[in-house]
Amino acid sequence: MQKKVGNSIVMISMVASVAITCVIATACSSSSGDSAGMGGASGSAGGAGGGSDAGFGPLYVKYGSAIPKVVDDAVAGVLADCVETPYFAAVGTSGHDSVARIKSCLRLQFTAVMGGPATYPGVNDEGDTCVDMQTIHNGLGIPGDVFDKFVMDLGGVLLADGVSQEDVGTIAAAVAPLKGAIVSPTPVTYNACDGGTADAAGGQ
Amino acid sequence: MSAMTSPSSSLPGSPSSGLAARRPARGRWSARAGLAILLATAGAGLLHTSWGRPWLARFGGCPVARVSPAEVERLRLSGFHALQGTLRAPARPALGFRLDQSTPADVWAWAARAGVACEARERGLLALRCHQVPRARLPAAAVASADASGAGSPIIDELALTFAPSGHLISVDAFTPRLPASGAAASFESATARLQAQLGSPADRVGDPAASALGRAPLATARARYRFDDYVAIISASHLSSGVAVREQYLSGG
Repeated sequence: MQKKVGNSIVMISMVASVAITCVIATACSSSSGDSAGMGGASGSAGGAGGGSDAGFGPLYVKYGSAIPKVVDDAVAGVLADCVETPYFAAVGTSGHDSVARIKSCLRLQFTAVMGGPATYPGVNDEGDTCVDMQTIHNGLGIPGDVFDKFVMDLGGVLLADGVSQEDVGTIAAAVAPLKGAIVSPTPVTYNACDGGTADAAGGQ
Repeated sequence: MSAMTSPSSSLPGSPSSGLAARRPARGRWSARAGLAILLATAGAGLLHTSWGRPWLARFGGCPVARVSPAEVERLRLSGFHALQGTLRAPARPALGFRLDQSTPADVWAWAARAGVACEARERGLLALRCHQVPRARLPAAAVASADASGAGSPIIDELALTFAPSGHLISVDAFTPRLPASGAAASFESATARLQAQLGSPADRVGDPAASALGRAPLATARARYRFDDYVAIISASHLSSGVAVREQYLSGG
């Protein structure tokens, strides 16, 4: 009888372990896959279009073809930035989003923001689903000033890639509401799932 | 039923009686081990929920998701390569800090001398973040004198200095938000003038840095970039919801 109970508990434990491990893996991967988000939310076409005004928004008609370059430049700025990079440090490591997937989700998002043939959340141009901004950034602990720095970078990138200052303002108005979904109400210095808030010693 | 198939098991002194006696012990061991696995796994799972993550952070974070300094540096360099130019920089100004030379000890020593409060953070790369830094106390006298003239903001809200895995400085980042447009314009011009004196004209410059332009619309932005093979400097000013922010980034190619 006791043996049966023991075996049952072992079986239950194994099943529970597998289930909980899946939850952990999902939590960890979503927290940096979240990185995908930073800028974005868009549709499906991935911004390759533009130029055609077949019912698309005026921003997409004007700048749709520039979306891939805007995304490449924005991501390069984030990665080179020692203040922003740590929040996305797991990108490209096992179990986390790749830079390519992040860019694909951002292309989707910019396409949607500019009124192109896309919705966000949605399926990106690699056939993957990009989840909503809140979910994708959950657990990253991004503070408000890091979001602001990204937006500043984005403003410069948009201007450099040919977007007029007036239209940058329009895009900013579309991006600004995302701050609530991206910035953590309890920001941490760095993502708890990726290294914690360790206050390194050595100081004054 | 079991008595039918193994009658000898109940007989005292039979060869199998010892085995039979150990079975309950094994069952207990299995049960305890199973419970321990279940509790440990459940505990690990709870630490990854939104409620548990602050506690996980206190324990040093998720061990399976840690990233190495080399991984972060690889990621950073992939971004830097997209920004860098082709020529070597004639100088690499960074507010008086020395890219690829200054160490954390150097910066701590400067902070102590200057009476500046800094904190160390480590996430792959070590970063020292200093708050409310008077420009007059920066290591470079030229920087101090240029901005102490009243042209730009006399205080850097946050100064972040990041170090490569080798322990040498690779990035200096000065960020000052919530400025009036006039102060932001003056800070932008002051920073770009300093760089121009040492590096010449920027590689690219976009937007209008005049106070009237920066104050006009959401995300009105001006940016100047100096791009070399081994050095990139980016000065930007943007109209954010809280005012105009000015940022100076000085990056080493490592």
